[in-house]
Amino acid sequence: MSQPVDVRRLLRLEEGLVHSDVYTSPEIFELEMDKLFHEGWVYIGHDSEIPSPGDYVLRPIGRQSVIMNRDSDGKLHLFMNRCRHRANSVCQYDRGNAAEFQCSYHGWTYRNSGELIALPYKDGAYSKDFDMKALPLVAVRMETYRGFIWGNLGSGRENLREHLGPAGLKSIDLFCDASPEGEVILRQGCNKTRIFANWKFQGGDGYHTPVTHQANFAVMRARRNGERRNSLVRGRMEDGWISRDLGNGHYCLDSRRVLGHGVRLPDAPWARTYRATMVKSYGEERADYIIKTGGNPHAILMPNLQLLSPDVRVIRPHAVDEFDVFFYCAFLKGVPDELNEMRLRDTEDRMGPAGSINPDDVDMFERNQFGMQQVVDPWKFMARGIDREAIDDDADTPEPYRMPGTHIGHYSDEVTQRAQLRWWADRISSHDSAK
Amino acid sequence: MTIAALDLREIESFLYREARLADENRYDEWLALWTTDATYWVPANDDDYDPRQHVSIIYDGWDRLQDRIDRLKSGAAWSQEPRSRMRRLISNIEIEPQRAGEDIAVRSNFVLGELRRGLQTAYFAHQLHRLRLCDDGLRMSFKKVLLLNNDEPLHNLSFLV
Repeated sequence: MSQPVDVRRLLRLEEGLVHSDVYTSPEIFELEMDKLFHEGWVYIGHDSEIPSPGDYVLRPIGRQSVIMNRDSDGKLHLFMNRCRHRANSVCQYDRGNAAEFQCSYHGWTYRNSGELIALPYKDGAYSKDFDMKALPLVAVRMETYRGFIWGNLGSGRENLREHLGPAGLKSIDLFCDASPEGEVILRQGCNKTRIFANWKFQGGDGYHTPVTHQANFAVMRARRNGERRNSLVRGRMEDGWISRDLGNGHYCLDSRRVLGHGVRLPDAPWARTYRATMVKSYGEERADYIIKTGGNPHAILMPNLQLLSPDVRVIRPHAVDEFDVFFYCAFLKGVPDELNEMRLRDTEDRMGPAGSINPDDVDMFERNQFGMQQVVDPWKFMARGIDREAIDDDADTPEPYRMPGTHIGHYSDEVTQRAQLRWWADRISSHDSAK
Repeated sequence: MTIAALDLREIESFLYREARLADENRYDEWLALWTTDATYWVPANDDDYDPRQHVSIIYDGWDRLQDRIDRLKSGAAWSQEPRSRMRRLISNIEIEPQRAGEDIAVRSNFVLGELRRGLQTAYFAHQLHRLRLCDDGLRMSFKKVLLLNNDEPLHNLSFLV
């Protein structure tokens, strides 16, 4: 276990100063693995990924491998991917269906509900009090919210709802409520991008958009002028975006006040059908609010989940200067196929290693990582908007989505980065497992 | 026009020219090889599925294909500034039996070496083209690239693959 680090040496947030070591030190990355990924709540997957009895997916928690599965009776589990005998991995595929997990080294076999049910040449090999019941696959503490599943390898007291906080929970609510049945489906595969930079580069930066993504503006203008048919006309950030600290390290670029952000619905029969089913589920006022916002909380939830409609993004850190982002397109349950197909094309258009947005972000993160290797002046300047951060009562937002008491700033302010780093400093310097 | 009337060499040279234009980032000339009912498809996670039900790395029709080229030409597509240097080798060319009135389906393999910012990456793939004889010669209406590593994290595929 690594020793706590003196974060006062690395962060002078009241001046907006952040030391590059936060992003470049291998020792700090080890601490992050211990304190942010091997303790506390880490997003694993979504229950729609394993719809049938026996379905499983293999997922990481930090450096650990866990099996997220549904047993033959349909119950959800999280198990360490490790045989109780000599610790071989018992599951080799990223996804599949299995009634049992058998270790191919010596044949120890576990039911998909975890129990050890067979081991070769058992009779006479162990002492009399040997009990197979005492050696199931090790279960990982698990909690779920609206189908999203988190695991926790630590023994801290904080439960999932406390970790997400009211604003984090409401972000997930808005994302799911774009479905008239309140459910999203994450079974459409994902784009996987590798980034040679620090995993804490998680976006939520309003300031970069007009510069980093300027290549897209000409394309968007052509679309707006109707020269090409495409749905992807998006609101400009000047039109009312806000940077918002959601608490507990979570943050968002709040676009909820921007009319028609997210996937803009065309004037088509299927779009009218969608609105009608939404009105039936939520009533007219709330349905129109959800549709207006695109069901997009644009939320970044520490340490590894992002909800940027229409995709769910999952962060997988590998090293201080290497991580992956997996982009899952979330389908909405109970909507016309046209809407889900539009969401699919929207995700592809922007995200993944050949998208129009993600690759330019990747280059910025990597140029940032490269720049931080220059040690003449190791401090980064992230003071933007530090004097205009304000507590917001979120009065324009109808219930149940209001987030009163959260800190906000101009969309270009570094409110979001400071929110992440305050949480990071608190967690990284904690001495116990209370969190 | 049937396959009998088209020399294999003509089909090969189309594939080689397409590869060379992509390798040399000659965006407009590459775009001109397409018909306007284009489908440019690079599947993700698996080699085949219903693209209305599963996300792809690339699934471009003609409009999106033009967007892609406009973006690359803008001078501000940072993931291609500086641009990738590339060379690809094409082999194992097989021509599918052709039915009357249909495009010519051609399968091949390629190895692509790509160099950018000091990082050289090798890609291996099977590809499927559908070619159509137009007034100005062969054009492609469909190109599907089955990357060997399409279920692995990829770093930067923002060039013409």
